[in-house]
Amino acid sequence: MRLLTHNYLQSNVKGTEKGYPLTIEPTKIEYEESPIDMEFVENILTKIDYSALLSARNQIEDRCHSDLGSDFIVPSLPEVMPKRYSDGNSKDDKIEEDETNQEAFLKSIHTILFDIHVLEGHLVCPDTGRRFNIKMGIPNMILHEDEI
Amino acid sequence: AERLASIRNVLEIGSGTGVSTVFLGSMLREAKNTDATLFATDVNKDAIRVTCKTAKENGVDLDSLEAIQCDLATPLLERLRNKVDVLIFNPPYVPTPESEVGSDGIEASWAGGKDGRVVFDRAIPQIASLLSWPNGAAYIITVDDNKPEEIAKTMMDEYGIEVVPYVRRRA
Repeated sequence: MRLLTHNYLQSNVKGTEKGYPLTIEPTKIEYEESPIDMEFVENILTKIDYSALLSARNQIEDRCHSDLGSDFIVPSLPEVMPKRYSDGNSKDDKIEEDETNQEAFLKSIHTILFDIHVLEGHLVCPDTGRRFNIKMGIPNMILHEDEI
Repeated sequence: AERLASIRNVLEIGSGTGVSTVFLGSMLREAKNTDATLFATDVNKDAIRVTCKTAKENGVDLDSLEAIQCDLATPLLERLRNKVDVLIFNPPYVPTPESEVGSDGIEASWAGGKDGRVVFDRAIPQIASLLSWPNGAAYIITVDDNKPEEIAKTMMDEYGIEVVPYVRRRA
C-alpha cells in the first residue's frame, strides 16, 4: 500500500463521525525506487490531502529506519504545501521560491507517495479505533455485517 | 484523445484480473495523460494481487494504480465524491439463489441473486455519488436478466443520470 492509496482511504463503519485519516501502524515496509514524472507529481499535489500525507509520513518513519536500513532517509516535508501547489490555480504563476527547492520538494513528494510500500501492518480509525489490516501490501477495508 | 487527456480519476469496482483498468491505463499513458489516478477495488484479495500484477506487467504501475480490497467503493466514497471521470463496473450479474451472494470467493465474481441485481443495486447510489459532473461516465456490463430498462429508469428518475446502451453482444 502506497501512501497515495492511504490518502484516499476512510473508515465508513456505521456510526463513525470522521474515519479519516486512518493512522498507519506499519510492521513491514519496502522501498522501490521508481522514475519521477515531475508533471505527474505536480498534478497529484492538487488532489491529495496534504495534512493527511504529513501525518502518514511521520507514522511510517520509524519502521522505515528499521526495515530500510540507516542509510535510508525518509524525506522531510514542510508543514504547509508551497503556495503554488496548494492553490491549484497558481500552478502556472511565476515561481516564488527557487527552482532547486521546488524540484527537491517534488522529489520528496514522489518518494513518499509512490516509492514507500507498507506491506504489512494496520490502518486504525482515529474515531473508533477500528483496525483494518494490510497484508501483502493490500489494505483490507471490508466491513463486518454489523458495521454497515 | 481529448477525452483521454482530460481524465483525472478512474475507478474500477470489482477489478478481477485488472484487464479493463490496466487497458485504460495504457491508453491514458499513450495519450500522454499525466494527471489520471487509477483506483481498483475488489472483495477478493487474490483478485487485487492479480490486478497489481497485471498493471506491473503492462507498465501501468509506473504511474498510479491504487488497489484496495473492499466492498464496492465504500472506503473511497468521501475522497472521490463527484470526482470519478471514468467508472468501470462489471458486476456479478448472473441470477442466482440469494445464498450464493456475498461471499468473497470466486462466486463473488458472478453471483448476483434475484435478477442478478443484488450487488448492482447496492452500487447504484455509490456510482451516482462518485461520478463527476457533467461528463463523468460509468461503463457497466449487464445482461437482459438484469432488466436494464428498469436500471435506466431508476438512474434517470432518482439521480438524473442518463443510461445509454453502448454495445450489445450475444453471450
